[in-house]
Amino acid sequence: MTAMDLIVILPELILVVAGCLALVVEPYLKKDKTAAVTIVATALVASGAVAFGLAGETRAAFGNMVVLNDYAVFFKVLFAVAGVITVLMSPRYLAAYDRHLGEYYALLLFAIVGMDIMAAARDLMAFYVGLELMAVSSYLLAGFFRYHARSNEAALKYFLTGAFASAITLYGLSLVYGFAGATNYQQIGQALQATGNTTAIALATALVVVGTGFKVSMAPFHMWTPDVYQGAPTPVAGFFSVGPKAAGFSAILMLFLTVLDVSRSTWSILFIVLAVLTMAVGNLFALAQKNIKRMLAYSSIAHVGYLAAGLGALGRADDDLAGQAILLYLAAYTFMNLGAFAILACLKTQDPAGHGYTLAEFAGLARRAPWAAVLMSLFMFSLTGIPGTAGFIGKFYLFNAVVRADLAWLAVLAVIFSAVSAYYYLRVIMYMFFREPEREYVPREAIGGPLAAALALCAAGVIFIGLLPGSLWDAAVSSFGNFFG
Amino acid sequence: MINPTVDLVIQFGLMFAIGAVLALALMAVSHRLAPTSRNPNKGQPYECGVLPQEDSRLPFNVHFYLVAVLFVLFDLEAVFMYPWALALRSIGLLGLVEMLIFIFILLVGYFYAWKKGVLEWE
Repeated sequence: MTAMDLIVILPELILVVAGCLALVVEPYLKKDKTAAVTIVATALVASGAVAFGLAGETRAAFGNMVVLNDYAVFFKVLFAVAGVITVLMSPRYLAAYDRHLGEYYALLLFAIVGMDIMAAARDLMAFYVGLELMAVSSYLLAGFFRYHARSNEAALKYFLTGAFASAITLYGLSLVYGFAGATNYQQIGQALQATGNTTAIALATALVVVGTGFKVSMAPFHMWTPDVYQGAPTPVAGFFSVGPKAAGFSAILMLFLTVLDVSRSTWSILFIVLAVLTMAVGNLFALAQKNIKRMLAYSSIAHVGYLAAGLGALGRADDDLAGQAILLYLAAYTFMNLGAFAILACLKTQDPAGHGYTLAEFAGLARRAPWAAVLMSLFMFSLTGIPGTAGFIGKFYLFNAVVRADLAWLAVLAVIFSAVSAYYYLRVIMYMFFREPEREYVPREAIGGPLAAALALCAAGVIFIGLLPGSLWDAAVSSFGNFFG
Repeated sequence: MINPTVDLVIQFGLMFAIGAVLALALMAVSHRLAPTSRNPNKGQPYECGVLPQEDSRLPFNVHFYLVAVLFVLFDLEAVFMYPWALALRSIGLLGLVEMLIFIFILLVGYFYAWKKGVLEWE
């Protein structure tokens, strides 16, 4: 290690120091946790800003275990933004449950450090350490309301399926290591090019596809998702649906494009099959959900299906268009989905004992809370993919890339399923604006404080990406190319 | 001459098949051949000659777990220090600083546990 190596992981160092600081400060804080929130929010902003400032640099560090390049920077900034929004929507929600503790923020930071490492790793060891750091922090966050049975259930289910997925991934990676004799992505890629796509490497590929598919909840490995999202605290569920998912895709892209490039034909077919299955399961099951939190969980599965279609296209095509579209989609998805979860957190905060996230409780919301209803409509429109919102831009670029890879039938299928998804997204809007509530609701305090800032950030992101996607697309294009520093 | 891909499929198939058959066969053999004598005493939990007094699944004070986790943490720290001490000459000052950072991070955790009252028994 040299001191120059530290610059490569400077965004993570900031987060680690702030996480430790939050743990040290926590015991001295009484009811008021403003200090911990300030430390953590500042650190996330600083980490994102430093990562952004490092854009354009290409370096490798720690014996080529981690790299600093535009690809890593893109994800580090994205994770920092997702982290800031999550932190902003958390305080009032946690306080409403009387579980507002500094540990929550420290765990969130450590999870983001793991995610950053996953995006920057170019060695199986670094990748796995990042994955586990993210996963273990996530299990604890899922079970943060430890006096609630559902939260415990979420943590246990997440832990068991997560450990299972890690084991399968590791089995695949250990086979890869056995054939290549190296843990560095570049060296493995070269070694496997020499052996060719043998059956054994196809088997290893299939295992890695299944293991990572578990992590990002592709069907048929999605069973845990609705239960975990429903049981976990709402801001945490929102974070899970964008952060670890985007980190999973950042690692999947790297693993399959560099380590397992030799078995392209195998994994592209596997991802196409999984994409069809995931889009079908996510969209069709979401139709039947009366609980909005579960509906959003199935909707997140559906969106993973579209992304998997992009992965399939990436394996088929000669260019990087699908990869760039996946980066753009992940960024767009972060804003719209976190926004929808922020609205849920807001409604729950206003009525901790009564609100059950059911569709019926959204009836007449436009009259009770016009701002919440308007913003929720914006996020629902975006998730559907209505033009003028981030969701449309993401889908447009992604499906375009799928068509370009001679998979027009898959793109048509994805558009059909998007049309199906309009039914359950727009139903929420219909309930909010055109349904009479079944019971009287006491007027609640308006949205305010950090939560309003989180919602404003999400809405601004959705509208900005929807209307002016040029700069983000340029960032995605320049990020996707040079994988090794 | 067999196609090498098919050959590998056969090899893997054989490996899984032999593994499965072997496991099942061994279980079947021991099930068949082992002499069985049924006796109600064999269903009793074994406790060194004395009859069991109560259920062994008692609720423990959660403090035991916390102290045990702390112990494992510092145990592992010591494990990491042996190879580090052997390699210290070649990794130099930066190696020393790295280990100090590692210990400092553990100390933060220790401090946190201490302040949260893990070490207080009442």
